[in-house]
Amino acid sequence: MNRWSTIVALGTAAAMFVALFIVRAAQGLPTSGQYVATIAVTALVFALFALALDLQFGFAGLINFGHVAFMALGAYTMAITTLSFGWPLVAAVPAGVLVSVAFGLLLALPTVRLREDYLSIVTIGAAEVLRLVLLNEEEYTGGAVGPTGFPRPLSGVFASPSFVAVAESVGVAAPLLGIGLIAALVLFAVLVLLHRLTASPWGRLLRAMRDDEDAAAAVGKDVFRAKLVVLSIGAAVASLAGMLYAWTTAYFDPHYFLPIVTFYAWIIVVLGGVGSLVGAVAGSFSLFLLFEVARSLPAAKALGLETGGAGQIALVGVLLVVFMMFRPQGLLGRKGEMRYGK
Amino acid sequence: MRKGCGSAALRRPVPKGPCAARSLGAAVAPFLLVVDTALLPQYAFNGLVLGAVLALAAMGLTLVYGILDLSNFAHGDLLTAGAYAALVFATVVAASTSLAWAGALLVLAVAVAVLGRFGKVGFARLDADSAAVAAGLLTAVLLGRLFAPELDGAMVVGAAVGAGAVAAGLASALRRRVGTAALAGVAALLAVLLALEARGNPLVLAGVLAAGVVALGSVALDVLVWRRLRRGGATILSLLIVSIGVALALRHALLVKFGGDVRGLRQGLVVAEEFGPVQATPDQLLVLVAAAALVAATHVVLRYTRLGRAMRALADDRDLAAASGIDVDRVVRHVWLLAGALAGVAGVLLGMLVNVHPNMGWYMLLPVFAAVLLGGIGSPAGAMVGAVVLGVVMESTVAFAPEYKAATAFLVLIAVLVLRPQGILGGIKA
Repeated sequence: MNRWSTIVALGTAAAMFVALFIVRAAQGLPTSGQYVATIAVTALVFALFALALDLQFGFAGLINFGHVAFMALGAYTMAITTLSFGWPLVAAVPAGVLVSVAFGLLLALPTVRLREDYLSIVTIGAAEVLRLVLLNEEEYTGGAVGPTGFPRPLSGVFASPSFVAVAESVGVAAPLLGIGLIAALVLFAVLVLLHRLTASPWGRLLRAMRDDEDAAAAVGKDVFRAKLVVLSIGAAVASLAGMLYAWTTAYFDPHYFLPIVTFYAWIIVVLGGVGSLVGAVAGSFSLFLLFEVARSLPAAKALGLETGGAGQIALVGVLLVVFMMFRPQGLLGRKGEMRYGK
Repeated sequence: MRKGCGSAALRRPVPKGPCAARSLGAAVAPFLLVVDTALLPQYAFNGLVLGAVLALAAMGLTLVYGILDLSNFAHGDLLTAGAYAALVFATVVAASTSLAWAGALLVLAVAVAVLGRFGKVGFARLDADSAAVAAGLLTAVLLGRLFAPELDGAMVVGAAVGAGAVAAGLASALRRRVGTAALAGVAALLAVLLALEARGNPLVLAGVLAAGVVALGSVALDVLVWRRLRRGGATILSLLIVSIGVALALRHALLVKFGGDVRGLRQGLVVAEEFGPVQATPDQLLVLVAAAALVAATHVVLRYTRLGRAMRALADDRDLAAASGIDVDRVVRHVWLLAGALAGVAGVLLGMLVNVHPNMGWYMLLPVFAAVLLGGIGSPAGAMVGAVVLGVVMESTVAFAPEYKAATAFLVLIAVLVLRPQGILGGIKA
């Protein structure tokens, strides 16, 4: 990432934060530490979620329209193994990752040898079918209510008086701050890992595959295997994001995993710049700040701009179309990295 | 790996034949084991009705795919738009038939104008046909209003469309253009049926208007979005993402405008009649007849008209077609007109069968894609067959797991991809 795009990223985020503050102040709405922290933690979790997609699409050219399924599998596996089987989180978290990866491989095997569209159709279908299963198999999943009372990591540490005192001093609830710190650590680790991976010769293979699959295969590269590996890494990262999402909200049900959640990740990747890892983080913060600005407008209710409202989702759709048409490299992406033309 | 049916067969032509029967059997057989056989005719009939509606959507989707290389994720939402448009027009029609009558004429006039304008180069004769249709329409409408003022607007418009179609048919038959003549015959038949049904049923006229609106909207979307991307040489990947964006924007704009309530297109009690082992409501019969007639008409257009040949040539090889003098943008606009109209009608019919709500088309997208892939992507005839198979399979699911009706479509999809990714009729490419 060059200096100019860093300035654009920081500038955009800062400008949006100032805009949010002004819009809220004009309405007489408070902008508390807890409020800002909630946005920030959501943005961190979704940055992680979008990073997985950025690896799959931005580097390997795989279209995953059912990304939310991997998030849901992570959250549900973690909750079910701890609640129904009594597993500790140390075992439940890897289990969630494994289930998610297995699901990804299952979907990938019949589709990735075919044209690009097939994976997109199958993943979007799989995510919907999975949601139907989560909704209907109440015995394990809790049905429409979802599993309740699952444990959160390091809850003892975050409940200790010294940590609570620190959290209170910045005006944020201690559990939220704790999960936020974990999310930030995980995000940083994944960011470094993915950066090293994509900068390696294997990363060059992925880009070669994305730009011309036949050429990559012709020089003897195992394109099929590379695609499976990329999908697995993406599934694993998405499942971690799912668990963090569950811990952030402390509650979830199948409605937390509607298809639109996948497209939040898509617009984050497209906003941030396809193939730019730091861009995914900037895109995530931009998106959620944009949502909050829209939500704080006087006409928000009438236009459906409240959280999860129809107007908000329509906005995501319009942004996707406009960015893909007029600025396919997003805010930060290098020109030509996302090759919009043939 | 196995030869012929397996996934090793990709990107290579595969002989048709036993493979098709085998994979179809593999997809359907499990359902026959668990379903109560006494109810089979009923499921088959319900499936046929649903399949006919799916076919309308699937033929449009597969055409767009073949010609534009676009797996249009917004296609389902065109159905939703059609249903809501019909809902709006139904109240307009109920309030004033003459207003609706004026509207219908306007839509027809615009459609004729669009056909005439875009039809010029490459298939010049279309202009003559358009003129004949327009003249026939106007005469019939004027005569109807002059001599039978007691008839309602819907009747007159229906009769007018029929008369126009007959005029076009005669004009074509005189020039020995079998395809257009046959098409005009189908259109005339459809118009007569619609006119008969339209007595006291505002939905028929509203449905025609809705189809017109969705068709013109699709053309507008092509001019605004798809044409620009086409000229920029957009990749399949960017087209997919844009189509999802269009889908989200369209569906949620409808949600903002109309709210999330479930609405019905038909008011009042519907009584089913018995036909041997099968019970059918009048609505189901109307849906079946209308969908079947339109599927047949589309088939005739694609198979026997110059326009249809141009479309198929484009689907085969866009560059070659352009080199041989076919105006790509014009044909593409016709494809959108056709696909949009079919999707609009499919939405209205689906709204009559079930209910109207903002997600109705989105929920149909997966079954429609499954039908398209089952038939072989890019093949309209295959989409037709695939849709009927899928309709029957989905309705049969109701017997043992109604909550998983949508999931069966997905299972069929996966089965097709594993067993025979090029579909039963072998599409253009896998």
